[in-house]
Amino acid sequence: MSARGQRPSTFRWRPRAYLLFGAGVALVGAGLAIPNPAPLFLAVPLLLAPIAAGLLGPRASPRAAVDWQIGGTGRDVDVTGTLGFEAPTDARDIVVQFPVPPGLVARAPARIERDARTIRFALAWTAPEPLVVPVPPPRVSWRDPADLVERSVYQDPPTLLVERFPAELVRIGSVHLERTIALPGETISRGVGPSGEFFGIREATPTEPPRRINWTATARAGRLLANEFRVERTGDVLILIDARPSSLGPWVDAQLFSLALAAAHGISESFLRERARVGLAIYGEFLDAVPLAGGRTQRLRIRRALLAARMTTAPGPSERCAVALRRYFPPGVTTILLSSLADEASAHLVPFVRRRGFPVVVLSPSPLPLIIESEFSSGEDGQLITRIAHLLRRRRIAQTWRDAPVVDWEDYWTVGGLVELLRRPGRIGRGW
Amino acid sequence: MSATAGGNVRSPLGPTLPVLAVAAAAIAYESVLPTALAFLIAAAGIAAGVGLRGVRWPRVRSAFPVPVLVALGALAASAPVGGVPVLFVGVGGVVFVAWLADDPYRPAAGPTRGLVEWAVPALGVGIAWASSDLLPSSAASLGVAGGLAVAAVVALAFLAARPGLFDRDAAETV
Repeated sequence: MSARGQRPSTFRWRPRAYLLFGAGVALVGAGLAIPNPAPLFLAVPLLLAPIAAGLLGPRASPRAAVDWQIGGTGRDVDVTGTLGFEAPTDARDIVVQFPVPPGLVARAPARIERDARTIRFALAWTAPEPLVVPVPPPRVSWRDPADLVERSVYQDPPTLLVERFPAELVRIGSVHLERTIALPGETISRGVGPSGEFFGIREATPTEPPRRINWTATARAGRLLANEFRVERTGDVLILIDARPSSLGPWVDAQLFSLALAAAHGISESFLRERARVGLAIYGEFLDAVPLAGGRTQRLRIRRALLAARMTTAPGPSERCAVALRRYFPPGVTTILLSSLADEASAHLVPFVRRRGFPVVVLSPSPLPLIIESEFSSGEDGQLITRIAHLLRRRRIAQTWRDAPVVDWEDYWTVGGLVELLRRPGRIGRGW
Repeated sequence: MSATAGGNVRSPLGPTLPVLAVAAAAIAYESVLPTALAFLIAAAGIAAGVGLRGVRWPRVRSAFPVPVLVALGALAASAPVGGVPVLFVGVGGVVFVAWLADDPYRPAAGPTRGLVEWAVPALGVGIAWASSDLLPSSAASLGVAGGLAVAAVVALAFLAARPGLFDRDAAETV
């Protein structure tokens, strides 16, 4: 209905046009069969109206200038913006729909105000659980007032991302991380920047400060050259997401996976802000990895990988994940595993990863709030089932604790337990 | 994935409804059917159309022109041969198109913005009526009107196969 980025414009007859065409032809037939001119006179406007509608409005796909921004705090997500059109497109003939991104709930109906050239909109959504999801572009099309013809509208809106995660994750980056190589100074960073050890010489930019110019090299080369340095990093962290399906069913799995993605996004953003190196690994059938790195580019890489991540339908064995991790990441890197621990297969991932040399902290989004809320909300039997489910969950976590500390993430809007665990002194390299 | 549609919904009793009712009543008055039955058909068709237009479910709502079309078609088929009845029928068709543009789910003043949509058919009806009724050989009205209608169908088939005439861009429907 609306084109984004490219311009594959379309002209469509609407179903009502076909209705008028059909009725017109039937009336012509009836008028000739009776014979009576009156049905023919009724047929004339019915047959001409769609053709006249095609002559109305813009002759090609109109262009919409989309300007929108995201706001709101906590669980509230507010999107406001405008759609601007140029003559001869009348904004009152524009049909616009705003799809609600998956995981969000409309808090109030969309508020849309329009004049001849502009459509102003305000969308109010709520995030019941933490999530990271892009806002889909609005579905925009031009339709004549009688709804007989339709043209696509060309638009290229800037990408909006809804990021809602527990508040504690904003400060989790201040946690001191161990270096992957124990001795100070041995961490070879791929990042280059304005401080740290000398890295090399490069062409100077026009705004280069004089202190950074390598004057000796400049005199030899005859053009401005500047020094470049390695950046000191505070440490490394690896975020590992278990994307394999569990026995909980696709709906619960999808919800828990969405929570894991939101947590991974929050953790990576916070550590990258603190100039740590962050790696990401998503394990489904095979391992998809974003190797350790820092900076804005890494932020974009991780964001792209998280948005592209999907649950797999063919789960791989846990050992494969552990083996593949060693190909991408050095042993000893602090590893935050996001897994529901819903069944044996997901719980087995922890010892395999640990035995390969990765000290693991498990952040486990609990399925119980989702299951209990949807299925066993009340009644004596419901309470009993809830208690048994909690006991089973506790038992599973206790079993996993033998290999790695586990944070049972039951209240999805707080991860204080994880922050506290990471702050605990001597947690790395001591066998937990 | 659900979608939130924008815009305030107005009453389905728009400003074009009285005009449509008067046109339908005029056609019913001219009909050879018993007057009560003709008025009943007109009233039932319009009432059903307005009722369907107010329904919340879009799929059901999209059928709102059908009862009005059926009523107008039945009354047109029962109209006597003559200048005034066929003019009423033609005007009824034009008013029906204007009523389509008066969509309560779209911004107001649709018939004004969609002037071309009903003005061009009105012109077509006017030419057809004038040529069939005002020309000396008025007995040939059926032939003239039929010829115009057939020409319109042929033109329609031609244009439907070539949406590029309306649009410089590629079509998806044909």
